[in-house]
Amino acid sequence: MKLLTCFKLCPDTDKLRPGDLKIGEEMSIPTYFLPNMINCYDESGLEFGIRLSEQSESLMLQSGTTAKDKVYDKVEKTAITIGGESTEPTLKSLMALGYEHVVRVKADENEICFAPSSVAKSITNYINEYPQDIIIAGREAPLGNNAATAQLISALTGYPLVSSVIDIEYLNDEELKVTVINNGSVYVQTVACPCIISMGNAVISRLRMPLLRDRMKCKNRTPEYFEFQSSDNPVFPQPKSAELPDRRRAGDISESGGSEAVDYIFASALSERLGYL
Amino acid sequence: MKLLIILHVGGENTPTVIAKKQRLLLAYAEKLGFEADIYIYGEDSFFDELNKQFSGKIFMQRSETICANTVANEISKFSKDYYGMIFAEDELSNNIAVLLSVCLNRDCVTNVRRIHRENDSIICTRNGYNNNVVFDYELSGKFIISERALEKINTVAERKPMDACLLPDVPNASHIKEQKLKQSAETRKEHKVLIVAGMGIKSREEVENIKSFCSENGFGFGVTRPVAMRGWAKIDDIVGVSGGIFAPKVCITLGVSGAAAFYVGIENSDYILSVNPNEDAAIVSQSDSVICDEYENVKDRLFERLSKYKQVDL
Repeated sequence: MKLLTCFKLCPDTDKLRPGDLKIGEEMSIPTYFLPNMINCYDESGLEFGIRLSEQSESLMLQSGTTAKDKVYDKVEKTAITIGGESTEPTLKSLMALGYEHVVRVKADENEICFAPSSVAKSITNYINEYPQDIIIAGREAPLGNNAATAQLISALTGYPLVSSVIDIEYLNDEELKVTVINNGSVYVQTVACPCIISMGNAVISRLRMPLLRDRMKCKNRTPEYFEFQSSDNPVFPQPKSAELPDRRRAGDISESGGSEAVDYIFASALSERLGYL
Repeated sequence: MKLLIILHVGGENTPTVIAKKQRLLLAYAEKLGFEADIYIYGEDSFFDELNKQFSGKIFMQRSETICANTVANEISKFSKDYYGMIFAEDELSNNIAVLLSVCLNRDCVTNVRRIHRENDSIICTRNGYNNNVVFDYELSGKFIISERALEKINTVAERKPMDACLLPDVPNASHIKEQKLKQSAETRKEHKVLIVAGMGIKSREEVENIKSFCSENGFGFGVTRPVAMRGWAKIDDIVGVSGGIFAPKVCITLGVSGAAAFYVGIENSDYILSVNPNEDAAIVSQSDSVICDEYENVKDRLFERLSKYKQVDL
């Protein structure tokens, strides 16, 4: 069983301070000064990839079957990202965590920010060349926040999309048990592969850290590379303009602290407002 | 030229909730100069209640399994003549919008917060860079839009007699072998007071105390994403880009720094009071009032005063 987890490295925008961002020419917005992090939904997906692999191996051991029996097959994991050289340390970590294949589609960050169709096209090309049973992608990622990659891959490959997944369990070589959220209700579905999992706010949110020993084992391994391809039919238009929102309010700071400040705020604003509710 | 407005009934999207959304989207259609029909899909247990609250032409279709592909496929069968489609916000709306845009080869913009018309084009405003930048997109041909926390407008659409058309059920998705409800959605309440706990709250017990206080007093409760990721609150409690977006009359943030990805969840509040010891935190300039102090020094008096304004269930 083959599993492909798509992930994106993005700047940690929570570290931004007022005034840090500036819009340059052609809507370029420099974020080079921010640390990179794995997109939070993708991070869940990468951890689930490892867990599914462990679950499959555990079931193989318990049942005494081997990979040849095809009831419980070992999950062969691939992690794929699209980006520049800054993604290489993360790819190395994923090798150390047991991803059998780590793939970088070479592209410039500015090239992919507003191009979800091209991102999906490149990943679909990889899937066509190396067929997969499970594809995991986060439901949304900065910087574009288009919420479109998993959906576009589904449209391009014809694989069904399983949306807003918060938990995944390996059942056998052909099926997964997934927990999905739908307008506040939680459902458990048994889904047949191949399918595309769109990772939502998952219960498992952190990717484990690799051991130094495992890092050393794969220090000479290099990622595989794949070609980026622009989409001939981008359904997402390029933005026409960009601006930094002005979110300033009064910002009235109380002169005192503690109970005195609370009383001041109630007297000056809150009592009246709450009284109307 | 006509628009198709797509709504999903089920879970916390009760008929009353989507009727309100329908009125907003019909008002937008009118403002943009379009007539509009409605398409509603979802859980059949709600369908009998729908009749009372809607106006104009309505297509209704029951959908049992949760699958964006099958719904997109059904909509594609009758929607080709509509100039535009607007999906009301829900768990599947972005997914179906994107799938349909590929199927029908139309321009698509997701998570739209504002729509207006400029000559022959539709301009959609949405956020990017985790809510740090606002982008405008111009759509000059047939389009598909999915909204998220769409801005309210003052226009009220003309009410028309309802003309309902029940379509055959959405076929069950073949890849879903079994589907079981694990937990039903709680009824969504529009709390007038929302209290949000951030990473400045130093223990799980304190976060739980705040939640209990909110529950006892009928206030809404939320946390920032890092608090939920620590396991100190439920994922459902997250406020911001990856969680809920609210518009309470009064929002009180406790120990919240004010990252843009969070702030989108509360920026429509009428009044924001923040408690944070750091005068340089982003939340300070984004609040109406600020108490620059540790949460512990403020909580007893704050809760004592707030409890006098206990809210009954709305």
